Amino acid sequence: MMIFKKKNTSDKDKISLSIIKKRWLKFKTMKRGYYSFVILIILYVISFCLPLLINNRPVLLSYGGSIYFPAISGYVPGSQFGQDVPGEANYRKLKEDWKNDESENWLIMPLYPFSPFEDITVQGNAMFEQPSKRHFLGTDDTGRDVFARLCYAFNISISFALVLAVINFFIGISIGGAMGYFGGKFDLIFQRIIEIWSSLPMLFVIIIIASIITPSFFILIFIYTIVNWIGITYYMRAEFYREKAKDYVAAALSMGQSNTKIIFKHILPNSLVPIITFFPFAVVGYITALVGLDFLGFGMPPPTPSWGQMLGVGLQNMSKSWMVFAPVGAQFLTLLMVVFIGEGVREAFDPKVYSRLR
Amino acid sequence: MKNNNDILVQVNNLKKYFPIRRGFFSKISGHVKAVNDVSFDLYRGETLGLVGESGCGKTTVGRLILRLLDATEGTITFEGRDLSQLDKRAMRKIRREMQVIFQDPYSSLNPRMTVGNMLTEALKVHKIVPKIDVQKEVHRLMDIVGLPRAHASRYPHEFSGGQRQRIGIARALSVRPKLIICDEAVSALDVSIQAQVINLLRELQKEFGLTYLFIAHDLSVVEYISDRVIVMYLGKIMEIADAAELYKNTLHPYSEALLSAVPIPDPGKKSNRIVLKGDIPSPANPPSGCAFHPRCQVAMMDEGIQEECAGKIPELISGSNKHFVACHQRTP
Repeated sequence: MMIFKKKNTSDKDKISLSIIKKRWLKFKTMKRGYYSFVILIILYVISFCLPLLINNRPVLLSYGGSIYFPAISGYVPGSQFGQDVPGEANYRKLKEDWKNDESENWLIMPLYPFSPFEDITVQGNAMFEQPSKRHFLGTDDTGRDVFARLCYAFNISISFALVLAVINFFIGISIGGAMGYFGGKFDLIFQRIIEIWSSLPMLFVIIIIASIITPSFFILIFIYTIVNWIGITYYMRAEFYREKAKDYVAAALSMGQSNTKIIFKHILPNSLVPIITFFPFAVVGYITALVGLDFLGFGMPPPTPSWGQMLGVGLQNMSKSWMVFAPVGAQFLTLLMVVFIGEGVREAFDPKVYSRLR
Repeated sequence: MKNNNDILVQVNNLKKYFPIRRGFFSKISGHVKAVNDVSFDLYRGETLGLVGESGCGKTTVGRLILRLLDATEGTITFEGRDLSQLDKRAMRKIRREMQVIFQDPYSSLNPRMTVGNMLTEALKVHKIVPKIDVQKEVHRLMDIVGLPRAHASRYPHEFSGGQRQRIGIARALSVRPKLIICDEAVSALDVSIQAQVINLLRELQKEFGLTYLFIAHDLSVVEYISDRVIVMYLGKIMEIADAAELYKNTLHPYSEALLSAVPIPDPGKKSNRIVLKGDIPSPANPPSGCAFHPRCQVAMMDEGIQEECAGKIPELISGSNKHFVACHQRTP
């Protein structure tokens, strides 16, 4: 008896860990998955500040005593700053002029003073410039800076994939879970609907819709969700079928707990494994899906920076190596990192203690 | 001795048939008669043992009373109210009156919830104590079942089987029920832990005036804890008697065979073991007449007896000492 008591007091200070926390700790030991995760998160967060980092509009501008924030406020005609250009002010030139004139006006340009949209119509830009200190990855066939476009496209790709994955998983989990939980006729009917729905030729549907209306970010996401929510329902349905037969669900039922509470508080937390392990791979799939559509020209409307469009243009100008290697390299690295994360997550959820990944 | 006010649960002609579906259009090709015309009363404050081999419908009876399953036929009245007539709301309310302790302490606790969360859940659903007192109530429950209070923040995987069963008991107690259905509550535990848990259950019964429906296949455990015992075979009740009476004056041949299988801890004593022949028949296609007759040691002695047993379903006949038996050959 004494021995037991001693043991009890000694592990009192041990902190209890939930299963998710334990798996997070295990995921942290998968070095390449964890570092990929950290790097991607940091890059993604930074990519939301891109207008302040990579832009042809200054972050801060002082002219005639008043302060302007063109990077945030947007278009300002050049005439307002006493510059003789048609349309928007050319801030790079403005900066040089003011410096040469030793005027009291000043402006602070972003770290990389090129926008992904400015082409040869802006004075000083040229087509097919080779990579240099000025243009890290050169310029493309319309004189737009490749590096700036690459960075903006990163944000759009990841955002697209994440939003799409979250919406798809949300719909898939709700419907799949309901099918598994309620079973019977509801399950039977929905399963048939899903079978019919899933036989739609996805790519053609999108191409047809895209040729009728000009797709935007959200229209593309909407079109993709129409078919892509199906995948996860199969797993959730099976998970719910398995979990609802367990005694803890019967205990919750006999306690008088409501169906919604049982689904979300009891069953869903126990069915997270397929959701979490599939999520990174779904993101990979959606990134490539967007690249594919943009490559074919059915994706984002033209001036939007996108890897697929850059790849397409690069392919037409194979001799300009930077235009091909830049989007391919960016995609390769991003996808590699997401796959590393997925691999690490999968491994973290594997009940086997020893792992080959470190 | 016992009048109608003392009846907590009354089960009348309860039937539960599970359809067997076959073929392309899943046509119903038959029924598994898990519970086939069962009637009994459960008195306030007693422990009613329910025994029988696996597949005889004990657990189904428990689940029907809890209304985790809906009965095919028959009624269950709880304190005079027919459970099958209650709407969703009234049913949710009445659920706090009856709780269940499960056999498998590993699947009966949600692995993602801490013990504290599990215990507060029911408190919140039925608003048993005001919000400020929830923490106190959790500690009180943990004291009752003998778990250290500090364990409230732990997850089920950090406990042993016996401790988990205590958590299950605490969860059942949290809504302050009148009836607890112990569905093989101690079968999965080893013997020393079994004794602890059973003694705990008895103490709780004394303290809170609980009524137990104790479902088990271990006859020595049932003898120890029960006031009355029901013996079931193939979805039917074979014998109902007070525990002492049943063990002293066994009437039904099936009960006899069951009791003879209980090991006696005395090597000198010669056990008179009755070994039943054959397997338990399929409940989808039960034998005619008395369900037990193909394996019955009494019916086998004589062809005339066998014919009688195969021909007619025996009624549950009441005798002296509230001893009920369903057998053509043995009348109380």
